[in-house]
This record gives sequence, structure tokens and C-alpha cells, in this order.
Amino acid sequence: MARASRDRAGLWLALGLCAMVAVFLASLCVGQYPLSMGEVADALMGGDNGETANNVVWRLRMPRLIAACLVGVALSVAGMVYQATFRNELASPDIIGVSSGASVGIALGLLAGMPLLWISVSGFFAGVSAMALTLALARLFRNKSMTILIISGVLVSGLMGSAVSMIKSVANADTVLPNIVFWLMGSFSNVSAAHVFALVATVPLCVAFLLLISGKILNSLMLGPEHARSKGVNYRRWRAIVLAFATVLTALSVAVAGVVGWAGLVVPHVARLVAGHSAQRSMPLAIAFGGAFMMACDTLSRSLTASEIPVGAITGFLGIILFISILAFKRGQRYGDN
Amino acid sequence: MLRDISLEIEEGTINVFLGLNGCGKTTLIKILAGLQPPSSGSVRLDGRPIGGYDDASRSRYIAYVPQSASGDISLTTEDFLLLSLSNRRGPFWVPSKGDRERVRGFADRIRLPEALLGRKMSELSGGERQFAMIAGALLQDARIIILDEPTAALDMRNQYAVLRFLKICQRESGKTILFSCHDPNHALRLGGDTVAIHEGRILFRGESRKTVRPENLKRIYGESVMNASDSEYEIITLGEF
Repeated sequence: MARASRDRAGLWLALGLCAMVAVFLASLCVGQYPLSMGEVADALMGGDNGETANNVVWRLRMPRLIAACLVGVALSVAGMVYQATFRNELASPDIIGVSSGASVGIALGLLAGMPLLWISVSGFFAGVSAMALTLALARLFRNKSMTILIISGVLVSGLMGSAVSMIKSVANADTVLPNIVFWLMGSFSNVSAAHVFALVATVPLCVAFLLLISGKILNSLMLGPEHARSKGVNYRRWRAIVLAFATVLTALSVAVAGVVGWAGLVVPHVARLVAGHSAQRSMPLAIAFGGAFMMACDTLSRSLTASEIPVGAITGFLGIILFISILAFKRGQRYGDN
Repeated sequence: MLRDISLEIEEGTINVFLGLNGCGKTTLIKILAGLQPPSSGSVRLDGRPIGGYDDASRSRYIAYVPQSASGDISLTTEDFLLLSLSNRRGPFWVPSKGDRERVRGFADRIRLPEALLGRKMSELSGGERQFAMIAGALLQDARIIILDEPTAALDMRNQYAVLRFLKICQRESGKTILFSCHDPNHALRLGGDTVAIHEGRILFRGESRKTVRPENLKRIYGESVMNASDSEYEIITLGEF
């Protein structure tokens, strides 16, 4: 039975990777300027089928797709790490204040009229600082349990949410406020080469590290502190390390694309549904599904209507439908079981 | 709070820590397992202070089975047992085919049904889960196995099955067993030495068959402690192992 489960996970991984490639190629075709698969293939091969097609592929769609894929991967893996570390399947990248902290940084950057890249930098460091604040609060309560860490995260998220509201209230209603609102709803429309570079330089390395330690460390963290230490894992040190990596992935994602919710919550559930709870088996699926999901959502966001729909609205809509489907599939089981 | 605890545990012995709920057994067990530092005094493992071992090196000496409910472990039994093999490996360890075969072979040897391996720990019955936890401790290949009230939540049949299983494993492997419980009958079943804890202190210590007697237990459980044969009530128990 265990071997059958592993074989099934392998099959789903192959399907997931195929889906990633398929969504990627289809997304290059779809948009306000539709391209045929032949035109896309020609552009990818460096062919000479026209400047417009090449520009659409390489300058408009490719950077967005790469960014969407990597953000989808980042949020999915971060969500899986949070759920494993907090031993709570409702944990998500938003839970310890990182997303809301990054939102404050983005809102402040927009309010101050910073250049695009500096807005993202501001968002990244604000997200990381919010995480540090969450940890400092938890230490202030002198309680090492995960529950107090979640409570601290909720408090920090609330604080950051209030800060964003205050920033919105003083922002220029005609020029700045719409930008803040749109950015915070999530979008890949502002992705630049620098954003793509930051994602390419960071996400694969972080994800590769987390994947390498998934078999022993992440699975041990899922057992809780006593079991983990008994199996030879320094629980507190490794918990700090994996949360740091997950925080970097989350803060970077929000800094580039705004608050894109639900991917980090739902994709790990889908991965576990097919591969089981072992992080070593489910994380590769989360990577494949997360990338495909976000690319699909971004493509829908820019092609459903004449004006772009915030991708956070699409991920929310599809993510909630997916989550309801998962719960319906698992009905009758104890929550959290596959 | 524990007071004036002074103990030496010999290798290859069974040691039962007996006492009421809240007497300090779990605290003492965790201190001996190196999971909690004592507020004063020291614990030495193989001649070295236990605090000098990091989690990885300590896990090669001590396998600890906590009391806390493992009903929320969502890994499969096989994945849980595989983790027991990882304590001597680095952080990038991935279970190999050889590791899986070793787990299956071990499960077969201790008659853990193969069907359980593919099921999640949270789906197992209490008794099955406890067997899996003890199997994990044995697979860890540590010299000492410390179990904190492993029979607390089990029915009578599973309680005695766990005790029997432990006794057989200890006889075959020669490991040192530290076992905490609150039922003196378990101490008698398991044999070895009993360390009775009462209000944070060691009340008595010695060979279980000689020391676990009503006259000693009255100080813990009250004046009504007696041998079953003297009781006016019908006492139901399971026969010999």
C-alpha cells in the first residue's frame, strides 16, 4: 500500500510537471494579442517571424510568466513549510504577519512615490521585519509553543492591517490610493527585469534547500518538539531556519506581486491529497502545482476582460472553489486526514 | 517539584518509575532523557553530562517515546519508522530502498502487520500506534529506551500486549528500559527494578517483585491498597504473558 502511494505520487508529479509546461506554453499564446503555437515556438527558437510576436513573447509575457511561476512555487512551498512547522493545515504565508508586513512596505513606498524597484525592496524588508516582530512578541510572552507564535502573528497582521488602512486614509485619492489598492490585490503587471532577476536568484535556491531537507527535517518538525528531538533533530534551530526561508519566499513574492492569497494555503492541500503528508513526497507536487496554478491565474487575470483583473481575485476565487472541493472529497474523514 | 533525586541506572536493566499522577514522573523522565534541564544537580550519560550532547548525538544513546498523544501524527507508519533511521544521517537524508527494506524486515520480525505501514499514524488504534512508537524507538538503535506512560490511554488487552512486547524486546536486545506508569501491576508484570516517586521524592527503590507490595504502596495509594487475593471485590486480570 505504501509503495502504491509512492507510485501514485510519482505519476501525479509527472502530470504536474506536464501541466506546468502546458500552462506555460498556452499562456504565451493567450492574451490581448493572440499568438499561435507556431508563432510562439518560432519566437522561442529565435526565429524571424516578426518583431511584434517576439516582443509579445519575450518582453510582455515571458517575464510575467516566469515571475508568476516562481511566485506560485514560492508561496506554495512557503505554505507547506508553515503547515508542517506549525502542525496546522490552516497555516499559510499570511499567518505570521509576513504578507501584511510587506503590504505596509509597499503602501509606504507608493505613498512616498518611490521608483518601482524600491517599492518592492521596501515591501521585502517590511515583510521580514514583521516576521521579526512576531518572533519578538512571542519571546515577550515567554512561551515557546507554536500557538503563541500563531497568536503573535495574528496580532502583528492586525497591526499591519491597521497601518495599511492609515496609509490609505492619507494617500491621494486620485493618484496614490488606486495604486495601493491595485498592488495589494495582487498583480504581475508591474513585473520588471529586476523583479524577475530577484526571483530567479532567490526562489530556486530557497526551494532547493527546503526540498533537500524535506525528508528528514521537515518530516521531523511535523512530529512536534519532543519527537523531533528524540529523533536527533534540533527542533528550535531547524524551526528557525525553515521559517526564515519561508519568510524570504513569502516576503519576496508579496514584494513583487502584492498580496496573492490562497495559493499558499490550497496548493499544499492538493499536493498532500495525492502524495500523502510526507514533505519529501508532497513538496515536489506543491512546486509543480503551485507554478502551474499561478501561471494559469495570471493568464486569466490579463485575458478575461479588456482591463486586467487583480490576480489575487482570481487566486481567491479559484482557490476557494478548490478548497471546497478538497473538503467535499474528504468529507466524513477527520479534518486534516487524507 | 522533584527533590533529593539520586539515581544510578545500570545498563541492560528495566526500570519502572511508579507513582501517582502529578508526582513528578514525567518531569524526571524528561530530565533523564535530556529534554529538560534540571534546576539543580546534573545528569550524566556514559560518564558525560547529558547537556553536553546535542540532539543528534544524544539520540544515538536515548530513544524517547513521549506521553503526549501521537494521534495527530499524519505521517504514515512507514514514514514514521523511516525517520527513526535518520538520526545517524545528515539533514539531507532521503530514505533509500535499503532503508525501506530494513523497516519492512523489522516490522515483519516484530509482527507489525504490513497493512499498518501504509496507514497514517493518526488512523491507527491506540494499541497499534503504541506498538509503532515502540518499534520506532527500537529501530533508532539507541542503547536506552525511555517511555513516558505508554500504556496510559490503552485498554487492558493492549496494555498487557505492550508490556509483553517490551519485555521480549528487552530480553532479545539487552537495551536499558526506563518506563513510567501509575499502575503497580504494570511494574510487577515488567519486572526489573521499581523506583517509586511520591511528592517529588524517591519513596523506595528495589527489585519490583520485592518492593511493589501493599505495605510499601500504602504510602502512595493509601491504606486500602492490598493484594487482589485479599480483596472482597472480584479482580479481573489477564493470565500469564
